[in-house]
Amino acid sequence: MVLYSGWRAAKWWTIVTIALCAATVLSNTIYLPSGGTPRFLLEKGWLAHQAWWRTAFYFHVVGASICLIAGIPLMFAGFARWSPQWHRRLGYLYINAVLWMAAPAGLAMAMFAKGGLFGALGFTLAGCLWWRSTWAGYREIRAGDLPAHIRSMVRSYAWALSAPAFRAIQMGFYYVGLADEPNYVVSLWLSIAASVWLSESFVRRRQPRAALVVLTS
Amino acid sequence: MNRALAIPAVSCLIVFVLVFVALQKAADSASPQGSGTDAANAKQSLASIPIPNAKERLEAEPANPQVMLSSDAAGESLTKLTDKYAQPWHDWENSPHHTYSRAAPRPVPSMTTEVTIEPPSDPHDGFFLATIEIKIGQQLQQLACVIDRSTKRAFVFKDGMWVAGDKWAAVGPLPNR
Repeated sequence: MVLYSGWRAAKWWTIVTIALCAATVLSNTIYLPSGGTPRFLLEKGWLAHQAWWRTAFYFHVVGASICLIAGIPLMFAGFARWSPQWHRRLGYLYINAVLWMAAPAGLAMAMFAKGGLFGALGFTLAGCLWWRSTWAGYREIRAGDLPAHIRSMVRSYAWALSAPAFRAIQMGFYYVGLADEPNYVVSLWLSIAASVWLSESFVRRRQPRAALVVLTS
Repeated sequence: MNRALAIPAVSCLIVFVLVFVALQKAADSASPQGSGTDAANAKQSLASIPIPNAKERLEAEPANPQVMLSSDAAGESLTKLTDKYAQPWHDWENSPHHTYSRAAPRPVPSMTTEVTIEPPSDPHDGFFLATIEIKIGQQLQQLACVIDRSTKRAFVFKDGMWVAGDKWAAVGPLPNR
């Protein structure tokens, strides 16, 4: 993955990332109509009975699942070289899933996020920056600025990866015995920090030759 | 914004509105009051309707032996109440859940309830005394209970006051409160 280019164990980080994305999408199938009400919706109480919140929730889950899956091949330089046409198609799907589904729905839900003010702030920040970087990536490729497009889309996908990162961190803290409420807020902000660090370290490593990473690696 | 983005944006908006309307209709037809409102109302009434001494009140009323509730029937009625009380908790216990999710990863401890009816010293007593035992994980809570044998109403002693059984059962505990 472009995200890990230059890392020593890039291949292993790529495998872990793909596995976590797959686990996230698989765990989202819990929200398909089935026997009982999923735990996450029970936690939300009265909010889960509000049609607007539920609609935003389904939009977020579907949109985020699409962009997690569609984003994987987009983050491989070889894929863009192998089929620029498929890169464009999947990129179009990814951009639309973020801009009109996952990010705005996530922002609507952020107002009532778990974790109180810190939870709401964290999700609002992540949603705004995710939308902003994706929009910028689209504008830049339309303008023909490939290096800027790569930087923005790496930022965008790093934000998308904050969801699997959150789950992995939360699970880790659960196994070391941290209580659920602080665990949620700490995991949220650590996943945000991980996304920022991941994308900004890529940008700093590759800024002078961002396009070369994709075109020649 | 060009058409390549405007078309999906408008399509998403239309789908959002359609899903919203469908969910709103489903919610209206399933429960006109909304279960969240029900729970809030029940909680409010639990706090606002104190029953200072149900036992005294029951003793003051003459019992009619023709329609007196049997011990078995009282047990059944109390079991129904405790089932209603424990239902939200059991819903959580049995809800679909993955550890790798946004929901709290901790498993919900199991809840069991047990009802014990005291045999009346006088068979013509107008009430039964009972104990409700609620066990959540390792925590045990015991609640005193009085059942009016003629009106078949139960009263539970909770937080220093007597409350009607149906009001008590309407606000069962949840793992997150």
